[in-house]
Amino acid sequence: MTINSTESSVFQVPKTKGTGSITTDAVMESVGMYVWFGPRLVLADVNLKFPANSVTALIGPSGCGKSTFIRTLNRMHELIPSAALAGQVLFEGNDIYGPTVNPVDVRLRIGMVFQKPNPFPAMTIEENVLSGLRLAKIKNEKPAELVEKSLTQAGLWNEVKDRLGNTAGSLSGGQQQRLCIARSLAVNPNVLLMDEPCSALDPGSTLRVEETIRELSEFMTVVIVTHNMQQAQRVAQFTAFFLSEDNNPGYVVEHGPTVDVFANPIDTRTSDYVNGRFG
Amino acid sequence: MNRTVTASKPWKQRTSNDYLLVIATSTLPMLVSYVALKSGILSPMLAGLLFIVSQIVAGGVAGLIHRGKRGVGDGILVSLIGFSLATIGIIMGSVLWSVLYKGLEALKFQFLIQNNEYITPTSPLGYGGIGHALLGTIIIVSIATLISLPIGIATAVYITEVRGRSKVIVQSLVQAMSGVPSVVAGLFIYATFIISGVSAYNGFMGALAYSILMLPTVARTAEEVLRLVPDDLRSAALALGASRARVVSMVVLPTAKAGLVTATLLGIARVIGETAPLVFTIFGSARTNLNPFSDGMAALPLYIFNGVRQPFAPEQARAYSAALVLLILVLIVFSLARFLTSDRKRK
Amino acid sequence: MTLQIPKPKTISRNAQLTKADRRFARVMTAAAFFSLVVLSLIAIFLVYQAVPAIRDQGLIQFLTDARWDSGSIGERDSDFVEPIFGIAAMLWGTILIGIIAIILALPISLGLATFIVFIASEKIAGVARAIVDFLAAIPSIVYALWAISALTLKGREWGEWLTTNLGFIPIFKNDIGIWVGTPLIAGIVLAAMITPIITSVTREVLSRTPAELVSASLALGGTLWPTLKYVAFPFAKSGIVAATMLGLGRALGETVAVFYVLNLTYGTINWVGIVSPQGGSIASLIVAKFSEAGALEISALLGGGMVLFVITLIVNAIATAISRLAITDK
Repeated sequence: MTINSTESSVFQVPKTKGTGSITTDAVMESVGMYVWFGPRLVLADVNLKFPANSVTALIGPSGCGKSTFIRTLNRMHELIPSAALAGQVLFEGNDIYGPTVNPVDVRLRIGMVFQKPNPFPAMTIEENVLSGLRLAKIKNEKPAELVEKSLTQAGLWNEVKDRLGNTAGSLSGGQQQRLCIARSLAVNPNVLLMDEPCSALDPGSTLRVEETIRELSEFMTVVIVTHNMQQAQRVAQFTAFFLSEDNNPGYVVEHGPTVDVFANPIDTRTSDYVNGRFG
Repeated sequence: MNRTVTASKPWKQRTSNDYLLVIATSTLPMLVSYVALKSGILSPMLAGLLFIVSQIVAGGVAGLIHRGKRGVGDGILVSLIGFSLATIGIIMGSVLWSVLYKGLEALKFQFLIQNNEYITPTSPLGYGGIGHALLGTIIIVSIATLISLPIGIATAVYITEVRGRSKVIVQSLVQAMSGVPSVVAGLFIYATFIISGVSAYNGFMGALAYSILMLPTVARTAEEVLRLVPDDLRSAALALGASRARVVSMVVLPTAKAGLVTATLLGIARVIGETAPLVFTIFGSARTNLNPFSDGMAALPLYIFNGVRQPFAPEQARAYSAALVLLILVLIVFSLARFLTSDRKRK
Repeated sequence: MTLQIPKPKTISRNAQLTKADRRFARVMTAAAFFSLVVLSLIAIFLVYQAVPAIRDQGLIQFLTDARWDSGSIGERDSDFVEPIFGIAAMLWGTILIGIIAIILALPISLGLATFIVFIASEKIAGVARAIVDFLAAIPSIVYALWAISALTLKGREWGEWLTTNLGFIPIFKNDIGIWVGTPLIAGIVLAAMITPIITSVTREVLSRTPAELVSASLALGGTLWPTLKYVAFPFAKSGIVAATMLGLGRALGETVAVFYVLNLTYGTINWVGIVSPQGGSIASLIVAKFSEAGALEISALLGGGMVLFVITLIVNAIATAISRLAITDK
């Protein structure tokens, strides 16, 4: 398929390979997603399905647009002034970019955890967990229970239950990241987007967060951007490989069950990348 | 298959209902208050109050309609920010208007070059001018610049280049000095030199008072500017065997030249309109005096200050014209400084 | 076998400096401490020149008496009036108009700074910043003319309305029946002058709110107001306090803009009556009395200048301390 972007440069988007094997019903789906920053097209024709209660890893070399893509999934992309896009993100069948959709509702259903742990420094651990409720003006009858539940789901409860009143700054980096996960869980989202959640953490903390992700996938859908091939294999049932070549926009080379993408890649570039030959 | 994909910003798309909401929110409160005022139901003050209150409520309601309960706070916030913008706009417009309105009358070419020697407060506007005060201001500000620029830059060099032990103390001192009220600066010169008989009232005394106010501005801006000089340049020069003094004079200061000019201009803009320091130091003069070391000298701010106290229309008009000239001077200096800064950033 | 561990050699700070370098450093240091010299000289000379008046009046009397009377020598002994110089009324008046200015300027400044940092597009924010900077550069004498020609008229209307309708509240009481020269009008001019200062400092600290915290807030469903309330303002809190103190310092020391629009009243302290034409301002007092003062009164005026100097120094020191603390915190 040939597309003309707004810059009128004609660019061939190769068809994504391997998608056929995902047949499960998707809770979220990106359809023909193109993304621009100003006049520059950075992502072309991304079609991905995210099956319910599964983990999908987005892998690929730096600058291929994975982080940009994940931000289109809960409407964080639009906060960059020069951002533009084409295509749809269907969540439970409805386009989240529809004219009557409130972005706040989208972000409450589709939570996000960032690369660098970013708990609110002026708040205590407990206040951080409940910050989403405050920010979005959600009433909760039993905040103490919610704090315990969210922290337990994030695998942090035992470590902090005696010092909920301490500021978040007193926690280690890994604990802070799990606190951020707990904070996202407290507003009860259906999907959790994670943008390289372990890149700023030590190996021990990374394993702890991965365990958390596996536990979460029992009741929610997780999309995780990662640079770490082993991590993708450890946590994800599905993997999408993004690539951007020669300053062309990034696109999805291959998408399918993680086992297939890593063990029997269809595309030679996928096989080169997952075997560490570039990127 | 060929297909054209166009970039769009769905989050910026507005429905006609959205536009209707914005228009209604921004006009209805004003309209209602205006009608209440014109029909005589409310006094001007109450109509104003009604406008403020109803605009805040309208903001909240618009937020509620647009985004539900989460929109209320944002709607009210936008209304309040609108008030801030309107207030500052009205203040600026009103300040400029009051100076322009009363200042244009006397502003003729002759006004810029003549002095006030044979002019009384009731002399008609075709005679006399601020030439002497303009020259006085230029002389006083120039001397103040000559005094404060080297000291200001040296202070900045101490902080950024010498990096002495007392860096923080010096920064705090400069900060403290920038808080000295201008009236105190004038009084200090008066108490030190004039009351004690060391010097009579003259332009130089005014320049001394100005340089007290100018120094911290120059020092702080110069400090920021020198910080922008990349460390590589310093290391490169030091590695070539240059002494610190030579690194500063041959590498750092020339690199930061444009920025140092900006620092000077900001210092000038800071003092050029200051009146209080001059009241105690230069005495003022009706004739042209180019010697800063003897006799009183005129300066624009003092000319305005004394003129506006006179109950005579021509003198008042002259004061407002002088203020207009002063404002234009400040605008020129200020724009130059900004222009240089933006130029530096582009590079 | 014993192992010799060499002691680390400490390189003296000045060891690698040449003679010329050291001389250079000394000259720069001397220049850097020039500001200390000036500040000390201001204190020394103002105190020195104020001593005669303070000795004559007594320090406590000077600070607490509201009367300011240069005295008079009549033809008969009974006409002789002892000069009395007390700055209490002027001191409180200075603080009162400073408070009015802050109360008016702070909300406007917060609104403007929020607009520039969080709402306006880059282009519009640039224009708004330029306007704010320009307003800060307008000389006080120009604000003074504005106050005389435009503000006084409006201020009189507002004052009269406040007294007529809300006169039962002490701050809006006015028994004199004149609404020109009130602290409210002086406070409004000062507010106009310090709004740009507070705005630009507040804008600076707000713009340093970490982007990742703002992202976190938005990703959690926070809109603009909750993000400001729970994230940006708590982060910028101390910076905003410092900005306010900076503005207050400027307001307390302002002279000419207040001089024309504030009626100075000696003898009684007007504690709260902001729409009553009884005000005080040390800076205005100095300008008003300076040209016709005798030696003792000049000395007393310099004493007033000293008090003003000390107050502004303290206010600015607090501002500096708060902003330094804020920087080391983060």
